[in-house]
Amino acid sequence: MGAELEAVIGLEIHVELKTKTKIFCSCPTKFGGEENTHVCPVCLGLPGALPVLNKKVVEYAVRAGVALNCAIESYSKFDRKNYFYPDLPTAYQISQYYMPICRTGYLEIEVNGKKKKIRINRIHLEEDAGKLVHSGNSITSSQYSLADYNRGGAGLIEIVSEPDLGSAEEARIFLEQLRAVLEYTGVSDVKMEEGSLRCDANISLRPVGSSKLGTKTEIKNMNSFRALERALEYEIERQQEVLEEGGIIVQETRAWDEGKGMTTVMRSKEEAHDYRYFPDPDLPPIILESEWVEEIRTSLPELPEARKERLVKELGLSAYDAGVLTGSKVLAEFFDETVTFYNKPKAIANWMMVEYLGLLNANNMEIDQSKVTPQQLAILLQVQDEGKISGKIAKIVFAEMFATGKDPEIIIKEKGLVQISDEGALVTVVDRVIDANPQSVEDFRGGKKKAIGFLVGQIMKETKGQANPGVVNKLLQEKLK
Amino acid sequence: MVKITVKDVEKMADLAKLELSAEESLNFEQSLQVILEQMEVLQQVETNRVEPTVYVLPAKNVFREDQVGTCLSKEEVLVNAPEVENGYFKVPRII
Ligand SMILES: [Zn+2]
Repeated sequence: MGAELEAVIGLEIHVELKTKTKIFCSCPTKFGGEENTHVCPVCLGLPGALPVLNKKVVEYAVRAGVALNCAIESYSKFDRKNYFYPDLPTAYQISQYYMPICRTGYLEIEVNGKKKKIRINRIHLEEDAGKLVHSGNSITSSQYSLADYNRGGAGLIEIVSEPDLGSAEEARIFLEQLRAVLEYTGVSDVKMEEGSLRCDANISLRPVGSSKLGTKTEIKNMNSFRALERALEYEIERQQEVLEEGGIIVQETRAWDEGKGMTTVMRSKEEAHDYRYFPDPDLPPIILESEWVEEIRTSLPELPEARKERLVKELGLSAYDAGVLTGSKVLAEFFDETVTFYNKPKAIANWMMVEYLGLLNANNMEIDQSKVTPQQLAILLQVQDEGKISGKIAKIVFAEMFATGKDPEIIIKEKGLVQISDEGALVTVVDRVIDANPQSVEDFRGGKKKAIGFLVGQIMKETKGQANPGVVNKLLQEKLK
Repeated sequence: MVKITVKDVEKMADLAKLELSAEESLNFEQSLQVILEQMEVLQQVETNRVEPTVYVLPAKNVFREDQVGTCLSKEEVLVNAPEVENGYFKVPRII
């Protein structure tokens, strides 16, 4: 084997903007309408129809740009990207090729405790394409296809990073952090599963220390953060094998196949498109006043990095917990609101990190889809503090809150889960368990102090977890003396 | 100077989905060559201090507010479609 190889990865990210209407017409961007009902002469490309730019789209692009530390261009304009493909009825996509609205930004990420700046080459505006449904299993095996243009003409920004990412993990972290920043700015829903955040990757390998880039491949069709990381890991390994066997990398576009766990060729460079970009004569340039840009800049909310800092410095959370909790705006807001009802940030963080995220992940849900309110979680933790329920019971109550949205106190009452601290009520159970487990009793008296744990466990089991562990311990210690 | 060949013409025709006869290709080769020669003349003009013209009209910042308007009815949308299936435009085999 020759010199050690390193990966060089750049991402291209398409972000669907959360505007009410499309980028060049007043059709709604609402998800899930009947086919071809959110269309008009402009987004259908009918002769004579004229596109008019949505002001909100410009505002959102600038908003994303300032959040990502970009230079906002005072002059930008639109070009036509020409290609024949029925996902757009015009046979061209309106995009910004020559003069994009934002350039040269960066996003700081943290990988294994180390900070790294990932440069952003540009952010440009463009229109989304429509949706095609193929008659067969794949485009090549289809006799015909069906086109729905409801999504066609929706406003997108495309964010292009510099090839600053050195591993699949870094790429995934960058995309997660980027998603968080965009979510905070409110310009998009940024949901990968729903396609409002889409990511393609360019990847090549080169000998460590070399400054020359190797031949790259472009990877498409990665529909989750995990898919991005897996696809890049696969592709790094594939390229490495080719190079180590003395082969050469072919410049081509490859698609990630989630089921097979591999990338396969979509098209080679020879078939690559020649888009023949030219200025769109229907759309005047955008000339941004610096006042407007500054207004947008000052209206930015606290971004994930700053919020994380605050949680660490002011509320005493660990960097890891703060990172997870601020990784999504809705999660961070839930946390902050819970703190206003119950002033023990660390306890809330622990609960959210373990119990809450555990349930959300298991159910494949986001926190904004959950029925539990910050106030309810605060009450649950309060009740546990007061000793009305044990930590174990609290978990049961929380699972019930998660499932039904009921208040914790109601669940505790309905299910009779109040902690039993009354010695008189517990002493009979303690006696019964001692009688039933002579071996453990003997072990304990013989010096195996750990044996008491088993007895406590049995008592908890008999009381369905409702016994106050402190009281049980005290009673056992007395009886076994 | 750049020389246009029949091959270039054929490539451009292919990208534009035009079918040209051999005679037409030859014809375009010559006329495009003439256009390039004209451009060559323009190339001699000193343009270092001239801003590129990216838009010819004085208009700028023509915006609309983000307010939902009316769309076409489904019948209107599909009325000129050569083929329709379940409310979709039906298009011939792509690849
Ligand atoms: Zn429209």
